[in-house]
Formats: sequence, structure tokens, C-alpha cells
Amino acid sequence: MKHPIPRLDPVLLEPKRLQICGALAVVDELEFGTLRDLLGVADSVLSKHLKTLDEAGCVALRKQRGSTGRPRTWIGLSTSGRRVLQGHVAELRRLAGDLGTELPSDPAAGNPVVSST
Amino acid sequence: MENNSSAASDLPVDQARAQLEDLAVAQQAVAARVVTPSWYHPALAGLVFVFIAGNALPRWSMVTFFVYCAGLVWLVTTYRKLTGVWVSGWNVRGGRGYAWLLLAVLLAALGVSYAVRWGDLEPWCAWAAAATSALVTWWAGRRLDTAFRAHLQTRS
Repeated sequence: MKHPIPRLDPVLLEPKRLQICGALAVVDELEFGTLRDLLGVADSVLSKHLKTLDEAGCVALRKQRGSTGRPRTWIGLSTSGRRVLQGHVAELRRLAGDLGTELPSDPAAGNPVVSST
Repeated sequence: MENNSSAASDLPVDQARAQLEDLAVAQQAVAARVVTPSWYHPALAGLVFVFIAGNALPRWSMVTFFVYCAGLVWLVTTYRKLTGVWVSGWNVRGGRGYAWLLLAVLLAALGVSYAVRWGDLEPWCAWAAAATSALVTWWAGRRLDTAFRAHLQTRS
């Protein structure tokens, strides 16, 4: 697997957006309410961040009708989002002087990437 | 509108570390959240038993196959609804081996049940194959959970 290019992404400089992508990187999908509870933010705040991430092509949103008729939104990290996150984390690790450590890659890091920079 | 244009690559060290810590916190939170309900693996094992054993019985094979498929759909839907998380076993580091093992055992058990159905083996072989595959399903499922949580805890 190719190593990510260490590069900070403007969208992920916002801590909550980085946390959203970090949480999504280790699973296939998270439900909106679950993600909201994990981050401890209001619905509106999460919606706003997801909109930004969606516009940047980092996440994939999927609506599913629940048994009560209320739609549930499932969120996953897109392929480009995963690449962006890997590059962002690689650069953060470089800046923090934490080299040679694992970086997020596949969900639950099936193929971990080791920073070589 | 937020201004993120200052994506300077000269982010201060303490800010970079803070961001990495935020990331670790989020992933730890996911690890704490991914707790498979205690009934999930026994139910899955039960469905596998019904599928393998039922396949050896010509009159019941269609019914048990339908029960197996419907049960799987219900199980996955309920799991997702309860936990709000979905993780594929194939994507868990260290989990792919268990998934392959499970697939191999299921295929072997299915082969045995077909052999029983066609009269090549004694009926007890189908029960043994069904019980073995159910136990392996239960065991591998729990190992997958453990592998996933252990991975999240060591990476953060």
C-alpha cells in the first residue's frame, strides 16, 4: 500500500471534524445519533460539520428509513476522505515529532501505514 | 462561513499533539461503543446450525434456508439499530483470518450436509457438522470482537 503524502487538510483542522473522520476511519458506518453521542455535540453542530465534510467529499451519507418511519442517517468515510485523513494524520505526527507510528488507514486499519517521513 | 484557508503546515507542535489526542479520544470512544450484545453470537450460531442441519433434510432444506436468511437480515438490522455501528469482520486487523476460517468451516460443513442428503454419509455427520460450524461461528465472532477492541486500544 502507498504511503500517504503528509499534508494538513484545511477541513480537518477543525478538531470536531478531525474527530468525526477519526471515528469513521475505524468502522464501516456510524449512525448519526451514535456519532453525535460519541462527540458530545448537538444535532445542529454535527449536521453542520457533516455538511462541510460532505461538500469536501470526505464522507458518504446514506439515509435509511427506520421501523418508526423516521429516517436514520448512516455515515461512512469515503475513499478520498480516508486518503485525506491519512495525509493529515501523517503530517500531524511529523509536526508532533511522533514518527514511525501507525496511522489510520482502512476501517480498523486492516492495512496500517507506517510513516516513513 | 469558516475560514480554513490558513492550513499552514507550520501548525505549532502543541496544537498538532492536541489534534492527535482528540483523534485518539474519538477512536477510544468508538471502541467503548462497539460492544456486541451477548445474545448476538449465540443467535448467529443457532442460525448456522439450522442452516447446515436443515440442508441435510431434503424436505426441510428450503424452509431452513429461508429461516437462515430471514434470521441473518433480522440479526444484522437489530445489531445496527441497537449499536448504531457497523464494522465488517473483513476490515478488522487480525479479523480476516477468523473470517476465512469461518468461511472454510461453513463450506466444509455444507459439503458434509450435502453428502448426507445424497446418502453418502450417515445422518449423524450432518448433526456433527452443524454443531461444529455453530461452535466455530460463536468462537470466531467473539474473537473478532476482541481483535477489534484490542486494535483500537493499541493504536490510540
